[in-house]
Order: sequence, then C-alpha cells, then structure tokens
Amino acid sequence: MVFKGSHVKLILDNFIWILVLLFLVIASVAVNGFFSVDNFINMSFHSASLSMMILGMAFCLLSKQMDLSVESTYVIAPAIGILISTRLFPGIPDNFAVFFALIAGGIIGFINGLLVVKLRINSFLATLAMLIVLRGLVEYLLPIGIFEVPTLFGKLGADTFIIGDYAIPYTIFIYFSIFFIANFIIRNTVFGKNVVAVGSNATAAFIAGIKVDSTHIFVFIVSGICAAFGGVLAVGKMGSVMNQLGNGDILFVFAGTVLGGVSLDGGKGKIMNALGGGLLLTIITTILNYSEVSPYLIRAIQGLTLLVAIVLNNIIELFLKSRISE
Amino acid sequence: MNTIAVDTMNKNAIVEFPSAQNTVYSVKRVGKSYSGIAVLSDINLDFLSGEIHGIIGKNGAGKTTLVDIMHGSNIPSQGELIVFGEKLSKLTPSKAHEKRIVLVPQKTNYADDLSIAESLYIGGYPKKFLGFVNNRDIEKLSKQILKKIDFEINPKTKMGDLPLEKRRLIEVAKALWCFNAKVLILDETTAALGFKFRGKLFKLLRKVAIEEGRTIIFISHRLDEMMEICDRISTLRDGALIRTATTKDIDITQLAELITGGCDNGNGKSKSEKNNIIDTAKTNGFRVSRLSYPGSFSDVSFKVGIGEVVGLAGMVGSGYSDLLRYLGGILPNQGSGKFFLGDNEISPHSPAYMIKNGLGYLTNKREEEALFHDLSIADNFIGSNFKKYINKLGLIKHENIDKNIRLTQKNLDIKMPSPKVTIENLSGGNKQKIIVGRLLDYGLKVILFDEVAEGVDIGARRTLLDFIRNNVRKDTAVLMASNVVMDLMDVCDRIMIIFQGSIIKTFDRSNFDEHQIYSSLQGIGINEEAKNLNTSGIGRR
Repeated sequence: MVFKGSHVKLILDNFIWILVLLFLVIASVAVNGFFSVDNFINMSFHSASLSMMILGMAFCLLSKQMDLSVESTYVIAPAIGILISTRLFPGIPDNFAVFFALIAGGIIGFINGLLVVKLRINSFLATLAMLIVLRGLVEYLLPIGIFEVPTLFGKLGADTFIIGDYAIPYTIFIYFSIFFIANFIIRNTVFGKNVVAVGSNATAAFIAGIKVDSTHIFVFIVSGICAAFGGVLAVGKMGSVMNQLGNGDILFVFAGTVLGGVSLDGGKGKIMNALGGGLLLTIITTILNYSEVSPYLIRAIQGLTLLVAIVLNNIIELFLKSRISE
Repeated sequence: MNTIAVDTMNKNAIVEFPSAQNTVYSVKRVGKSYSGIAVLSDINLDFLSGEIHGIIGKNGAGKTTLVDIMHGSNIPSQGELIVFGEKLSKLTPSKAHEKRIVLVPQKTNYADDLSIAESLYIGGYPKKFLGFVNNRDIEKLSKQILKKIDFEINPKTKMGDLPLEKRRLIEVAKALWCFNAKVLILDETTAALGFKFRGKLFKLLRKVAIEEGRTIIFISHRLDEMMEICDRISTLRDGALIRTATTKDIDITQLAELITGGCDNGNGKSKSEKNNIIDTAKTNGFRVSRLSYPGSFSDVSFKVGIGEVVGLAGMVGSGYSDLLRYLGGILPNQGSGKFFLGDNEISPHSPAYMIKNGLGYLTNKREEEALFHDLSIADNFIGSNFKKYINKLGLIKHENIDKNIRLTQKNLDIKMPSPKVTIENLSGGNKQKIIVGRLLDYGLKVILFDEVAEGVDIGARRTLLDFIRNNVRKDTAVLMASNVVMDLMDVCDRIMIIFQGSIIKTFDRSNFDEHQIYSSLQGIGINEEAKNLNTSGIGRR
C-alpha cells in the first residue's frame, strides 16, 4: 500500500529541523565555545533580517514566482522611510519612518506584481531589473549612508529585555511570531490557500475560479513588505543605513528558502521550514566564524555546505520515496 | 475533382492485381489482456506492400493497443508478429525502427526552436568528421524532401513558426525519407489537418504507396476520409477484428454499421423514462443563440433547462470542446452571439466570474488543468469554493470541509484515506470524482462536463454517469460533451450533434440509436450542401 509511510513523511516534512539539530550538536561537540546560551540567542538574533527576506521569498516560490529585488527593497525601504519622515515631512514624529518603510516595500512589491502579471514579464527578469534599479537609486539617495535613525528602529532591531542572566532581543520574538502568523495565513486563510494552489497549477487554479493574477500581485506585495521589515530590523541592529546594506544577500535568501524545502516548482513547502533554512545558514556562518578558518575561505565553505545540504536532502527524499512506493 | 478521379483509377489498378503484392507485415492471433481483462483478442491481419490499410473503431475498441503492439511499444499477451517473413516473438521500438516500421504518433512534442532541417535530421544527422554537423548539407537534403511534399519554404525556418498542419506533414515526410519507412503507421494524423492539407497528404500517401510500394497503416476516426484514402479497411469492435473489407466493396453506411455493431445495440432505454423529461420552456438554465467563435464553431443556438441533461456529441476537433471552454470563460472572450444564463445575458470573461454567476466547467484535461498534484485531497476538493467554509474572521473551517468531502465520498463512492493525503495517492477514477465533487459542491445552476468519464475505470464511469443522471440533473442544467456516444446515450435527455463547428441534428431520448448518432457525428447523411458550406475549415484547427 501507498499510505504506509506516515512517519517517513514526517521525517521528510521536517528534514530541515533535523539538519539544524545535527549541525548544532556537531558544532557544540567539535567547536570550542560554540555551546552557550548566549551564542544560541545571538544566532537567532542575527538570523532575523535574513529570515524576513526568506519569508517573502517563500511566499513567492509557493506561488511559483521569484522576487530577486528583496535585497534592494531591504535597504531602500528603510532609507525612503527615514528620508520621508525627516526631510520631506519634518513635522511628523520620525518614528513614522518604520511605517513609511513598510508602505514603500509594499509599493515596490506592487510594481513588481504589475510588471509580472500585467506586462507578462518573467518574474526572474522583472525583479532582476528591479534589483539593479533600486540598488542604483539607493546609491544616488545615500552617497554613503544615514547614521542617525529614529528610535523605533533600535527598539525593534536591537533592544533587549532581561530574563535571569540573559539579555534577549525583542527581535527574536517579533520575527518568530511573524513566521507563526504567516504559517497560519498559508494554512487557514483563503489567500494562503490560493497562493499554494496557484503555485501548484496555475491553469487549474484559473479554471477552478481562483483569481490568479491578483493572488500573484498580493504575493509580491507581501514579499516587498517582508523585505522592508527585514531592512527595518537590520537598520535597528546596526543603528545606520549603509547604501551597501544587503548587497549580495539574495543568494543566501534563495539558499535559505530552498534549504527550508520550499520548492522552486511552486506549491510545495512549509513556511516554518523556511525559518529553519534561515537559521541553518546562520548556524553555518557562526560555526565558520568560531573555527579558525581563513576568512577568505568562508564563502567557499558556505557554498559547499549548502550544496551538501541540498544534495543530502534530495538523496534522502528519493530514498524515502522509493521505500514508500514499495 | 480531377485528382480524385485519377486516384480512384490508381486504386482500382491495385486491386486488380492483388497477386503482385506481397505480405510485408502479418499480425497472427495477437491478443492482449490486462489483469485478466482482454482488450484485444485473436487479431489476424496481413498488410500488403503498396497498400493503404485503414484501421477504425470506436474509442476503446483496441486501436491504440494494436498500434502499440505493431510498433513494439506494447508486448502482446498472445500471438506473434511476422515482419518481412521473419517471425518476431518480441518487437521493441528500436527493433521496429531497424525494420523500417515507423510510427507518426498522435501527438508529437515538436521542439519549437529547431529549424525544419534540424528537426528532420535530429536523431540521425549524416555522419561527419569528429561528429560535426554540416548545416549546409542537411539544409540541401531537407530542401529535396520539402520539394517532395511540395513545400516552398526555407529549411532554416523554425518549427515553432509553422502552423500545426505543416508540422504534421513534415513529420510524415521525416518518416518517409529520413527514416525510410517501409511500413508507415499514421495514428490520427489527420485529426489536426484542414481540408486542403488532407488532400495534400492523401496525394502524397497514394504516391508513395503506389510508386514506392510502401505500406501505409492509417488510423482515423473519420469514416469519410477512410473511404477516400484506404484500399482496405479493418474494423475493430470491443477488442476483436470484425472484418477487413476492400473499400470498393462497402459503402460508408455499412462501415458505420460494422463499427457500431448495427442498429440494435444499446437502444434498450425504456421509453417510459420519457415522462422524466422536464418541460424545458419553464425552467430556464441557460441558452445561447447564434453563437460563433472564430476558427471553432459557428452559429450555434440551443437551450438547456434546469432538470435536463443535454449531450453534445462530436468528433475531436468538431468544436465541442471549444464551445464548452468559451461558455466556461476559459477561452478569450472573442465570440459573437448571445448567451443567457437564467434570464440575464452574460459575457463569459473568466472562470471565476462564471462560477460566481452559477456556471461551472469540467475540463477534459484532468491532469493538466484540474488537479493540484502536490496538494491534499481537501485542497483539491475546495478549489476556489471558500465562501461557505470561512468564519467571520476569514479563517477556514477545516471540519466543515472534511464533512462535505465525506459526504461527496459517500455519494460518489470514492475510495480514499484521509482528506489530508495528497491527491496523487488516488486512482484516475477517484481523482475525477474529487474534481466532479468540487464542481457539485459549488452549488451551481449550470454545469458543463467535457468528457466526464474519460480516463476512468468502468466502475467509476458507471458511478459518475448514474450520479449525473439521477442526482445532478434534479436541480441543475447539465451540458455534457463527449465523443463517446454510449456515455451520452446513458445519461442525456437529448443529444445534439456537432459537426465541423455547427449543430446539425438533435436526437431525443426516445429516438436514441447509437448507429444513427454515430453516423451523423461523422457527417454521414447530412445533405451535401450543408457539408460544403462548412468545408471552409471551421471546426478544424
């Protein structure tokens, strides 16, 4: 019978968490100083802004689109937010910058959506162009960067509260809850169901009466807002907006999303696992930082680890699937 | 008309000297069964050199299986094949290719970006030093081949830029001159061809059969072209060979009789059911008047009342699929004419819009256009039908969905584990039932079924058809399109015949007769004037 492998399916569905655990255990044993509560808190904290972009990308991939522009939205949205609230309307409280940043992210997503849906441009190309345009714009707007950011950024991105001996950043709670909410949206709302259906089979979705185009536009808006919020957290963490912030991160966004089991084929994947993908990337980076690897090799090793993780994932999936169908 | 006269003479010439023809391919006592059920039994056929041999039969008569066996892609359970005198117990596609038995399949995956020359020679480029391909050479060779099929076209032209008809001809030319087919099997090659190209193809086939002595095995659904092109026609019914007839010995009506098994078959519907038919004038489901769609159907008018199942019978390509797709809002809204849903005129711009207005459509391409393969049974069941499953906060009430799936499961006798399992775990019939269940769950006024029982097992077919007849019909207007006449006769109150894009005839349930219906969807017996009016290519794309 086909339905035997329910526990096999359980393993498959949560494979990323097994990897996360595996890496944590191995690193704790092998790398001196890795195993400490502070370090674990730190890793969760540093994963936040990347994970927000991963979340946006997960929405896109689930609906079988891509959004490469997230890494540029990530920097330009907070920049625009701050510029609006400090330069354009100096009268209003400057903490409104966060709000404007999210709006800016949404608008960028909306434009991406229009390009893809209305002009029928392949989403890879449309958002690639957007990525370059926005990076260029941010370099024009901020020759180097903004070094004074409204306090709300810092509250969201850097402030901590104390439990016992440990200082825990609010950020961790914020982005974990956002992932939980997103997961809930995908499973329990019409929009979430439509995202997955559209990604699984757009023609079938169209014929079944789902509004494919508006679903896609919404997905891009969500992705833009997620990236903007990621940017807000990053800016808060650093206390500044540098014009090179996030440059090149798109590769890690992809890596994290795919590691988290969100398929490039659309319609397949779990939001919470994408969170695991982001965490795993941060864990790998941290391990490399702790061990005495030449800093010039770090990228190469990151890439290699990624490859190994993905191949491992595929092999295990194939193996388990063949066991199920027997 | 001249060419036809000449061709007929040639045909006669062949029949007059049968001794000059050798048997090139024999099928001896071939049978095929799947888990005890025979789909082919005891087939004996001889194919002669230089003959055009037609094989015809209804859907499910065993044509495809026979063709697959003859081409080596299916292994017979009994019997043997004798190819050029050599007895073969096991034929494989590569062996068949070696023996120059070439199949032009029903559907080909053309690589759109290849040029004509490349697609002619792909898989068999003339060998050159170090494996380089001399493009100029193959273009020269291609030009010669194109000349033989009378095409004035640059061989560098991309296949994707050609209309389907020309690509089909090029496929045939490839089989003839690049693969040097001695036995050429054409599986419904004409289904996509318009009249002009069919004439061209037939002339070509005649020529290579007579002058070059090749054997052509011609499979088609269309009786008229069978009569026109074939020297002999073998008829299959229910997996058995009924008769191999010389074409000049039979006429088209007899042929139709051979295929359906005569008039008596399946006309056992009790006449008492007649009073089941609800007066359609009172309950308005939907009606269309003078509906036309460029390249598909023209001037179509009919009405389907609530409480009525109306069949639309036609051959593949006759326009019935497009008619349904237009009404369902799937095709771009370019039709002309009027379409009333209930009492209101409506313009079908999208499936979402039509469903909102109470009309749903079931596609005939289940795998490509209906299923969400990676998703659960529940998600497949829901589609876009969330309205009755969300609470005030917009959250989905999963229990209610499960409850209705269980209900559908009972109604349609679906075999499935929990609704959470992915749909790919179900059989074809059960998948179809889920999709039909989805449509029923919308609570629609009008449902359009395109080949509702295609690709499902016999049991599922029975269940679906019975449920439509006994339950769906009660409060819905149903239009059911199919090329399987028996299915329609089972379920429908009326059957409309669509031929080359026009509705040419309507049968009431009391007058159902498989043979007559089958003949008229072939266009037999409709007056010649009407036929000529429609030969402008409408309905054939």
